[in-house]
Amino acid sequence: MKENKNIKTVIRTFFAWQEEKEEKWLREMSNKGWHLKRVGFFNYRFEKGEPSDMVYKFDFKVLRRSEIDGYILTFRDAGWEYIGNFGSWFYFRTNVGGDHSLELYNDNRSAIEKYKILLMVLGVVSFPMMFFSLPNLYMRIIDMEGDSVLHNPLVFNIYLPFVIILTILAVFTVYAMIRILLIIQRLKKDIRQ
Amino acid sequence: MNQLKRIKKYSPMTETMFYILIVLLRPLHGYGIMQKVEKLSRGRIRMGPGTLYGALSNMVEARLIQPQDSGQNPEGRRKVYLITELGIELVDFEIKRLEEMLNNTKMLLGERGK
Repeated sequence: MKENKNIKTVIRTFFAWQEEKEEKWLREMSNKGWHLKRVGFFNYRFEKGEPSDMVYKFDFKVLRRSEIDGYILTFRDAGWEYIGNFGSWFYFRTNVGGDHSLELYNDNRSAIEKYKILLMVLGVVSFPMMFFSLPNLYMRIIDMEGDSVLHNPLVFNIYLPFVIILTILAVFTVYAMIRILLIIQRLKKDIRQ
Repeated sequence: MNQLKRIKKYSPMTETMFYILIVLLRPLHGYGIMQKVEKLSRGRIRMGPGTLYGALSNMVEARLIQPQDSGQNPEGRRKVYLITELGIELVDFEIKRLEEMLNNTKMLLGERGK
């Protein structure tokens, strides 16, 4: 944690299925007078100000560059301040007690769409790794003859670390997709559309 | 006939979608839509910007509504939308569906009362 008088950067990680936790944390920070200024790769920059009660929400949206202005304007008109984005995640906040909804989505059908797109993006991004890189690496190791495959320096120093990292990444991606699917299921169970 | 098939695909709509569609019988921008829907529903529907933005892009893509030319747009950066002929047909289709539901409900409630 870097401390400056009025600015501090906190390193913290939240995953897509931990939105509520992240929202709660950012709200608590605002209550203490630390307002989110910028969001980056696993880090959050806060600026010191007057304590206030702010609700934070995140939207996942794949937009063309030309669409971003109109998108942010729609949220601003609705009473939401745009803070910044981290990839396709857009961060917004609003004052509690304002004369507007404290949700970005007022029905489940539209909320589900956000998670469906997230799931799709995750699938597309991880597809080459899951169905090309990983099988390819496994095959190469299997193809090497002999008991001493693991003692082969090429395998041990180059392939193995790759395989381990990619395997962890693949398992994690599958886990993330399951968590997101569960969110969608939960939203679908609600009989209101 | 093809047209009807296309329309059926969007029915039943969520009430937010339906309200967006009917307020766009007059040209409005996003914020105008929110205000009007809230007013018409007497504050019952408070639209979130995520729902609004998603609905507008989906409905433009489905050609149910259309952004107006920016030349005749006094709102500047804010896009103004208007319902299309296809959108109006969808509204007609939904009205019939809603009428059917309403009439059947009244009838069955009436039978129960006897």
